[in-house]
Amino acid sequence: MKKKLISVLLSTALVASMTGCGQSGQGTSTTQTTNTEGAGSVQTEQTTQETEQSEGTEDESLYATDAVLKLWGSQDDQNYLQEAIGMFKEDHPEAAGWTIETAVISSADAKDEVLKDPAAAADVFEFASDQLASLVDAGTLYRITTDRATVEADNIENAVAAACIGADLYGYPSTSNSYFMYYDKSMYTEDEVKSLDTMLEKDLGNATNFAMDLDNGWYMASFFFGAGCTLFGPDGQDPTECSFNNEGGVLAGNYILGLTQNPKVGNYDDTLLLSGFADRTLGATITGTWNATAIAESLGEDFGVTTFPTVTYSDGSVVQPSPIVNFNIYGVNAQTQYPLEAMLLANYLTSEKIQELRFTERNSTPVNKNLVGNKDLLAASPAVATLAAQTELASTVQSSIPQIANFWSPMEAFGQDCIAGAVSESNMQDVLDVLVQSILATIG
Amino acid sequence: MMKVSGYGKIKKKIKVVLSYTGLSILSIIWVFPIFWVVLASFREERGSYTSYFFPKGYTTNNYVRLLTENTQFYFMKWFSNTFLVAVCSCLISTVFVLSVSFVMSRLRFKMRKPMMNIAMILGMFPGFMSMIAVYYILKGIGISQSLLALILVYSGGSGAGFFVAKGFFDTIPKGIEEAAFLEGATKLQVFTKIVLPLSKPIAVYTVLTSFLAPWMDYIFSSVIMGDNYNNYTVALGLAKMLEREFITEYFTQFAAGCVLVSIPISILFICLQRYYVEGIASGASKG
Amino acid sequence: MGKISQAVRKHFSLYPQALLHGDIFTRLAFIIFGAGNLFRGQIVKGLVFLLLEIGFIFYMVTLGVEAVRGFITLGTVEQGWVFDERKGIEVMTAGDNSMLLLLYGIISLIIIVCFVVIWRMNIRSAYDTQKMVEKGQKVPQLRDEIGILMDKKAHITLLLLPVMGIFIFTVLPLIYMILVAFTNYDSTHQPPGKLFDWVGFQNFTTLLRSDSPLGASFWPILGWTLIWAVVATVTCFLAGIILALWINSKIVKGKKFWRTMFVFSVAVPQFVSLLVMKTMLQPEGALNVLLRNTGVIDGSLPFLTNATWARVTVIVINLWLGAPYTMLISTGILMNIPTELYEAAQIDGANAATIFRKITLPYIMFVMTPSLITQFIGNVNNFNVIFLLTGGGPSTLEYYQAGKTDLLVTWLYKLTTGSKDYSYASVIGILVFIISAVISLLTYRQTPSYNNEEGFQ
Repeated sequence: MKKKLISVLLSTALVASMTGCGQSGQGTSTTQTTNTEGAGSVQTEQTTQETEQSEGTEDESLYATDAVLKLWGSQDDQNYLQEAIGMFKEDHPEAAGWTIETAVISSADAKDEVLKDPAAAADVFEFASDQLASLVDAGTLYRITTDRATVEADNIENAVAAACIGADLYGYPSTSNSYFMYYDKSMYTEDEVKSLDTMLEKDLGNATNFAMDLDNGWYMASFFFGAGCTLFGPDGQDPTECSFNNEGGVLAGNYILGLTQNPKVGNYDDTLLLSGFADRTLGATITGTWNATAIAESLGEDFGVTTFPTVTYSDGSVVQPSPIVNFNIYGVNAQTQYPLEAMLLANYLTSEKIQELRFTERNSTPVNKNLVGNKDLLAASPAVATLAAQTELASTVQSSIPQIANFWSPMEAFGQDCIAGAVSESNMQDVLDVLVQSILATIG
Repeated sequence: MMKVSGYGKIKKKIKVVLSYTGLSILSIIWVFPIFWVVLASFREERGSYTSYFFPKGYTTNNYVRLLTENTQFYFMKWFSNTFLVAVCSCLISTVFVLSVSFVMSRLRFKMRKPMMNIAMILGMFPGFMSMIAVYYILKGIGISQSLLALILVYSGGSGAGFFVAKGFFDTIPKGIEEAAFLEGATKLQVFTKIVLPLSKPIAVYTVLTSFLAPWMDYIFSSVIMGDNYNNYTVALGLAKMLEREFITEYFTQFAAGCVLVSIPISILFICLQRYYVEGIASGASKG
Repeated sequence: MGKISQAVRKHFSLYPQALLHGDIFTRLAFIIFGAGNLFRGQIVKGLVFLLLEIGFIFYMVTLGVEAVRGFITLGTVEQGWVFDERKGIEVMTAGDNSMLLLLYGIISLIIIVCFVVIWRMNIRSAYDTQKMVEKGQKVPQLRDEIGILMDKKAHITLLLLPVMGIFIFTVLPLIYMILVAFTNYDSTHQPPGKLFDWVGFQNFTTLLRSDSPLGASFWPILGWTLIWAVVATVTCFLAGIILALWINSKIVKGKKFWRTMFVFSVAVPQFVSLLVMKTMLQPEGALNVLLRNTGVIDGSLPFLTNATWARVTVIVINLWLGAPYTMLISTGILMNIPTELYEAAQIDGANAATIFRKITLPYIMFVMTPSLITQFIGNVNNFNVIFLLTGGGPSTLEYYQAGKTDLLVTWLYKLTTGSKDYSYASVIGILVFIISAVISLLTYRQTPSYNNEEGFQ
């Protein structure tokens, strides 16, 4: 008992001394390894004392031989997951006797399903990073301590940050998701697509110059972030802070207002922009990798893809909008019977090897440093390459605190009010004040 | 007055023409979205939206792929799941509803009025709020994520919706059963042998309404089924096709699926329309 | 009130009577279930009572007491993490799950209530049997009891399963939902990680206080919900009747064909037809494109994007969905209108409009008032049309997490799925219920079918 207490104290001290998330984890990695080794030796001592523990007498068999794990993934990922599990068993002989089942729950639905019944949820599941805080709040995720050094060393900083709350890491980042620009090369040259204002000056006849989902906060926030505004503080963890109504915010708001009032700009959701490209009546749009195949098919030779163009705000400043980026993260269910085994699997599923497999098979954007830097590899998919470039150029990790649930509806209202003409440059400040108030509103 | 003058004849003709054109226009408005879905199901170009109305190319591929490809969407499996659930739950519901409405209409006992009032109130709570509780009850019984669970969810509480059927029973004259009582029949026998055979219209009405629910609902079934992909119902599966990652590729198949789902329901409706009208009309009068 | 107190007095008078006048077996039945039956030859009945008692005691000892305690505390131990030396990581130690404790507590309370009811039945049965023996009557055996259940008490046989179903799948979840409104089960108290607790009426005051963001949204949304419910019900009703009359008029041939055309919209799953409608009504949707190309309008009409337009649009679309139902019902009713009424009116020289106003409409109204009330309640809770068509939009900065077409019920859904604020959603659910119940009970009591149930035979 005393020993246990000491090790608890030790581990808390270690956690407290750890450097913050997203920072280079060199120092952390050494402490972490000693910690693991220390725990291992303690374990051997203890097992010799306790005779009744039949399993785990051998030093190296931390893992059960007959673990049963359930893994969640979206239905179009099932084939790739089967392949990955096969590779996992090849590379990890200790997992030969494990039963790994897969079931269909996509990363978008993970939070709802896990919160509904954590005991029945998968041991390892993929979730979108904006669900992290809710999942952690509900106590459904294991903290990742032993693999932390590897995760931090292998993956890009943003992705690791998105899997962190405070100083703690709660998952293994796997892919990233954001938006950037697709355009029709027959309408714009590669020079023109560098600036949105240049694009909008061009006369394309009947075609719409530019379209995006103007009343969707996920896209529109990029203009505010570009102007230096922050949502929920610089680290996205403070539910009482949002600076969308500062000076930069007003500039961004006015620019959005200008877009909504510009006849050359369309408010297109996914369905409209796809049909716009199919009819060749659309010059350019902002969307993500999930539409890449369909747009490439429509445009053929003229398929163009590039990072978010710069915009010129009314004070003359040229700003690079900063898109929201989400990450898909593999988490380990707090209720799992086999935490170590689940972590081994989750770690493997986000290793460089499997991220590459996922890129080639599923066209998913990797977050592994080596893969993101491997231009030759990414060239196979221009959209993924652009997304990777965009993440590097300018991007804002989406906050995951529960208050983010309050963000979308006010932003949608702002966009719709702009379109409807209920907002003008003269009352922009007031409208943005109300917007911020709504985003920060709490019940009660 | 009865003699039709030339002027009257023209007036009548105009009336007929106006009647038919009006009805035609209205019918077109009513059938239009359905027509659009049918067209989309035969559309060769994929995507959820086209800026033109008539497809550029027609194909039956959407149906073929929907029915034969089993890699992502198990349409056939889901269709038969739904069919099974619909048949079982409509049988149970019908038995429940008819029993309760017979009791409430024909038998007199102490708790009758309070029970009727409670039943009416029960229907006014928004059901999805309590789904999570239903899920855990089913889990407690040990049948969560199964088709049986879904059958019970759709039919278990159906007894409370007896008002229309009770109204129907109220209109059946009491003299018929009194004769039977004189011959020594029990109340249960009166129900099964005399009242039930007379209640074909309301039985059809109950069967139809409870048969429809599993085809339409996807909120309940998604909570109950969770990650059990094999046991999805058709509505849940079709709703999945509309998710961002799938909609472009699968929209035309989605439309094909909708047509396939609508066909059995439409046929049932058209064939049983008469009973439905009779049942609900006499039921509503007393409901 | 007098009625109720009388019933209560009658209910409790059984116990002193049975205690005072009962013999040893009847008195024994107060403690040992079925004693009164077992010793008087009703073996099966007695055994059933006895087994139920044993089962109940077993349940209470193993689970019940804990469940009741959990219901009161809603959990005391929070989930924790303990360092596992062997595994080298912190492992989870399970805490109490408030949500499950609440649910199991409710189940236990219901079981206790059932137990009390059975206890009473057992005493009544013992006392009745004793009296029969004293009077020298034959004590009913199993076969006789079954016979009674088939005939005199057939309602028990017929109601048993349906009522059980309603209890398990409707009443029990409902009690759960109502009780959640008195807890702080919101986004910051999510089980199993956190415990939630009883907070009394706090959520109600928060919601109804008009200076809180929730309160400021509640009243306008309630207003729109009521407007929507009234208008949607009335329009569907009128349109349905007009359609039915039109198709039924003598000059129209092929009645069945026309009816079928309209019934199609009933047979297509709503989420399909509403999705199609939604796509067609977008600013770039088929309808706007058609109108623009034909030169009727210059710019797109904001069917779903302007608040007023959107509200009118959802009502019109609801008409499209709902009118065929009313048409079917009123077709049936029209067929039932006695032809003598029409003939008499024609002899009096009444024209078509007068006949409709004086005969057809009153008759239909008389018959359909109950179903109108049901439709009204259905529209208050009409989740599908709003959620699938507009999703509550257009959004507005004036409301907390709601749009201009959001009904209370869709707002409630957003609160439960989006931010997991179950406690506030339950409060809204209860308020929706109170409004519906008051309106419908008030109107329902005015209808002839409630006041004069036997009148039609």
